[in-house]
Amino acid sequence: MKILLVDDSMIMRNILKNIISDQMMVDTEFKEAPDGKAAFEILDHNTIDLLLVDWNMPELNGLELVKMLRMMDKYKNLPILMVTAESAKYNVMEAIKEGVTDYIVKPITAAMILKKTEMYIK
Amino acid sequence: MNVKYVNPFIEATRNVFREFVGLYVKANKPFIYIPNTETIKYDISGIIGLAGEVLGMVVISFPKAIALKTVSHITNTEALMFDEVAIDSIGELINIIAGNSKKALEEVKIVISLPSIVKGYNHQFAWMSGVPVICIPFDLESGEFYIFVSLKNLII
Amino acid sequence: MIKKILYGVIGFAAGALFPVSALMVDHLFVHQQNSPITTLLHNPVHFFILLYPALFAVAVVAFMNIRERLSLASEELEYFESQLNASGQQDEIDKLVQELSANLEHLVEITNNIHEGICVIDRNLNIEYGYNQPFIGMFGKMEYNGKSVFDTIFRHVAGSIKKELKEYLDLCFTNTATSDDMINGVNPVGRFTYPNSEAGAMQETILKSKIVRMKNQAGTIKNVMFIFNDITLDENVDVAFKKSEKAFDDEMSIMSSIYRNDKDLVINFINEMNDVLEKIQERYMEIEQDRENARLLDEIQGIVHLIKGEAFSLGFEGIAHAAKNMEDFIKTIGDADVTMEINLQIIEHYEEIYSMVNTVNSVAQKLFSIGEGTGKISKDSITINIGQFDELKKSLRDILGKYRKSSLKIMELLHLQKKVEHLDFMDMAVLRKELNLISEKSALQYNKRILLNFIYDIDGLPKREYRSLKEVLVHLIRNSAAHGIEDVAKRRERDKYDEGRINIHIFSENSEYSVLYSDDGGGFDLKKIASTAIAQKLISPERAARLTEKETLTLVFKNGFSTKEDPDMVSGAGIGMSAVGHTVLNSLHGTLKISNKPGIGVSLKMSFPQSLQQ
Repeated sequence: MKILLVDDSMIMRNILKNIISDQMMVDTEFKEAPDGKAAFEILDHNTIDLLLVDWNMPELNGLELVKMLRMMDKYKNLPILMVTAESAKYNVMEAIKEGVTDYIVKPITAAMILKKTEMYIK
Repeated sequence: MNVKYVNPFIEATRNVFREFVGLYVKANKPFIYIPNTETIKYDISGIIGLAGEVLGMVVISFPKAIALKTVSHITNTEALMFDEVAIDSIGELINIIAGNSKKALEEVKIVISLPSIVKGYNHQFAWMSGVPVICIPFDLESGEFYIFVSLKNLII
Repeated sequence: MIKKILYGVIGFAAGALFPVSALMVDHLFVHQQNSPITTLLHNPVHFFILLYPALFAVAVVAFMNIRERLSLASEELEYFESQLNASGQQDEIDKLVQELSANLEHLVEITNNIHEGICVIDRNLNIEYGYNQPFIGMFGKMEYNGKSVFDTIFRHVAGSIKKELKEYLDLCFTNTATSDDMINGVNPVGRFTYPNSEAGAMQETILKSKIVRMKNQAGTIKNVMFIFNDITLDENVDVAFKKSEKAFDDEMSIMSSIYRNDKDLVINFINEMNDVLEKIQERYMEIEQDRENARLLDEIQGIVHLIKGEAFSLGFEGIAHAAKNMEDFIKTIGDADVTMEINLQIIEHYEEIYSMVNTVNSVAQKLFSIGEGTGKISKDSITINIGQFDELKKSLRDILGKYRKSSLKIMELLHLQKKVEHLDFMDMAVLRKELNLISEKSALQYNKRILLNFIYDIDGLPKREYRSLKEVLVHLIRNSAAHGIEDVAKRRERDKYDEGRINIHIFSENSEYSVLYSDDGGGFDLKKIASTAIAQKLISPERAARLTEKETLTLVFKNGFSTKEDPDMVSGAGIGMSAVGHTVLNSLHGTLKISNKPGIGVSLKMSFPQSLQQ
């Protein structure tokens, strides 16, 4: 079970990692990237089962990353969970259009993260 | 000063402090901030630029002790100085506050920038000229921190 | 079949009991001389009674049949619901939904027994055959001749939402990668109010909607199912819950204020508050005795000002705020009469402060007793444990959640309560009732006959405006009843209807509220107005002689113009009119125009701005 965490905030990545590894029954391996560009490189060399991605990041932002991934057949069905501070409805609509699977607005709670990740980990 | 545009920032700040930091903060009466004339003191700020259908800035400014207290709560370890972790935390904090404020301001499309951090005693900002700056002081246990909001075309 | 026959027999037997017993009763108590048989022969109509067993038998069979079918449907339904509820079994749900979408008629049959309104929409956004009975109850019957869903269901929803909804539904059909959860998060009609006319009265229903997408084998979305849920009652419970949550937050902030202060200071403050609140009560009792004593009101104002300052300096902002409100209110009274309404409002303000001081007191008691009891916690070293408070809040929420599900009756009560309060927005229909009562009472008191015609083109008014307007209208109606409208004999003499007419029309115009008031009475007597004003030294006789008709008329609104309600007062002069003038000008910040036709009637037009808060 490999989860890729993409967030420019190291603190945020740690929080997510702690929540998931503390509670998840399945063995999980984490990969981390501070922006979309780095995420792409990791995806090239690993088989990722679930992608947690922030929106606002330097280099390549989360939405651009999703857009590019969905254009490639390989990642058409990859579950992508967007975890972002962007709370406006028009943001969520934009994310749906680009093919994001699910959406969590920061600040996060452990329960919310667990509920959503469990849904996509089989 | 139009309450309609100030309240979303107050609400977002309170919620984010409760959920993300784990502290209850209390908003005091907002006022129009005139740089160089106020007596408020701060040592570190997180800044987010706003673009889209409005132009502006949202800034969170802390005195050192309050900033370190906040960071300690976020990271669950005692913060002693403004290191990388502290800067990361304050950046994420203002990012979430700005992002959350958008929900109640949905009638205008706002794009938020990546956060920047500025350190130094009472550092100055290049506010947009002719646009008022609203300062919202918040009580946090033994001190205060401030949220500055300056929005072109919106807050008068 | 055997069952049915059995039900038939039971029904027949039960049905037979009635005519037999009826005939027996008739025989024993009414026509004792007749045997049951002779009663029947005597009146052939009684033969119909013998049909009862047969009818009963049919009814019982039919009833048992329906019951059986219903229980079957509910079993099916339970299965359907359990499948939907079993989260994680996404595949099975998908399969079920697929099966259902393959046979929409079957779906309708099942979903007819679900409380939610359900409809199914195809790729062209038209409603398919699949919609259930509760849906019809919510939106009326659909004509499905290719009409778009927007023209039918949402004809009551505002225009911009329609466009948004079309865009949204397009997304639902095209974006298969996105979860239903996320799609439902941006549903533009996820929660909307829907005007509903029930028993002639318009009321707002709050609906929640959710979508379930029906995929076919290939994974493309064929249909979208809309599920509508009436949450009007739940919302009311939520409002009540938020109130309790706010009370909790208030208590928290009081606690933190207490921590920040010296213990002795807080105790001093509470004692002082109790003293001054008692003082207010005393002054207040004196006002009851002597309404014209403006000094008492000034004294209360002074005390409230003191409370404000003290509370503010210690950081009890709730109390400071309430005190400020009360002070502001007393200022607005000015020299006006302390009417019943004003009295009530003063009490309301007082009670607010009183209850807050009480809360501070009880919180302080709790805190200090903890400190003293254990001898460990000193007031300046306590830090608030947020985790504990969150725990408390959570359990509060749980309790409320349970209570919400179980107690429908209480929900209904809350619903009623909300209707009355309408979140500080007062319903005009209530005003109509109140004014009708006043006009009936006044008519009785002055021995007149009055027909009140009250029309309104606005739904309601904010509480403050409502109260002021009500006061004005009450004064006007009583004045019309006492002095405007003539007695029946006089009215006949003047060739008018026996009943005097009072017309009130409230409408909104150029972001102002306007009120037209008129009666068909005798109008004001200008000479008497002038002489009263002179007698009350409001104007000199020389000036009075120079006044135009209009100017003379406006004298009745002057502060001090005969405000006493005295039955022996000169007829033709206004009672309570000065209060009308004062309220319209000072409380409502409005304008007032009056026109008077002697012998024909009076008409007034009042306009006041719509308050900014609304």
